[in-house]
Amino acid sequence: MSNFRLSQETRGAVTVVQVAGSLDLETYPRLENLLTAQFQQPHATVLLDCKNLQSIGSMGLGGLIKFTNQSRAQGEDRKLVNGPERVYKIIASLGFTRVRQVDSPEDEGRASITNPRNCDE
Amino acid sequence: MSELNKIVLKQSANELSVYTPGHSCYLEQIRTLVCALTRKIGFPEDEVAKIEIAVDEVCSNIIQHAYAAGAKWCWPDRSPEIRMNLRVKQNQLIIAINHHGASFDYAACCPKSIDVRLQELHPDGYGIFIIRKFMDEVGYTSSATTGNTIHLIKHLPACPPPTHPEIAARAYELYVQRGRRDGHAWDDWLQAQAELTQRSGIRLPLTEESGRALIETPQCQ
Repeated sequence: MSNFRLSQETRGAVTVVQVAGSLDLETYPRLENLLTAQFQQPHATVLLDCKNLQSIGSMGLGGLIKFTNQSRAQGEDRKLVNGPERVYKIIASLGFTRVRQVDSPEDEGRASITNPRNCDE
Repeated sequence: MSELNKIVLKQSANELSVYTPGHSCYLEQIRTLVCALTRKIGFPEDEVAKIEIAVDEVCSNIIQHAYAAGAKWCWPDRSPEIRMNLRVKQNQLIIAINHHGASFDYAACCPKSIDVRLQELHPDGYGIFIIRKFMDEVGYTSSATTGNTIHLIKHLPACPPPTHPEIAARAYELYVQRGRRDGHAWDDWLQAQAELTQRSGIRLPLTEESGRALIETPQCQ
């Protein structure tokens, strides 16, 4: 029944983690496990794609902050992009977008990948 | 009243009650019901999302903290359960979420400013702030006999006043109903205006049956 989906694909040097559905107390641990594994890979470029995220609670917000912390600790080659309008408005109204750049849905095409050249490799 | 490991919906008069086990795998069903209800009431999608998250926060806190192993439950002999009651009264959506885990006074809690927490990139501690920010009023009651209840209130979206053609159309209906007898035009007009002005007294638009159609019992691990 759960609409939560988590997938991962490699595009050149970029690992794209796609999260769909609701990020909540039940589902967040799955994303956390996957991201923890990713952060153990040195120099990996990770894109957390939230395009199909439907809702996010404080557990999910905390997860995005952890993602930010880990990114900053290891260099800025982790990107957080593509929140749909419904989710983007929520995290923006809470102030998260003031401390972390999150590309709005309108920026989706422009922000699709950190370094497009890597996708062609 | 509820059955173990099942979602139970009860409807009475202008209230809808939802009983779920106190497990995180039921959060999605709770959110689904809340979203369907608030959309039908007429809240704009931004507000639907806010109410959804506020309810999710309350239920998540209950599951994670109130029913935590080792916490001092009100009724330790019962299985963890979340009992949610939704009703519309005086242009307010009132959501009461009751549980019998450990008590915690949401209304009295003063969390650190979310701006400070965000600037310091704390990964947790946002729940109560979210609940307060996204609901118009938050209350809390607790007793040994009734358990713990978090009261969430959201004012209904403003209902526009009836238009002149709407009043005229309703007044004509009243004229027809009284047998097309002349001499009551003003009475009909005033009655039509009064009826249409009171339309914001919305009945709860989600029935037990339609609510049940939206959800199914999850397979919890």
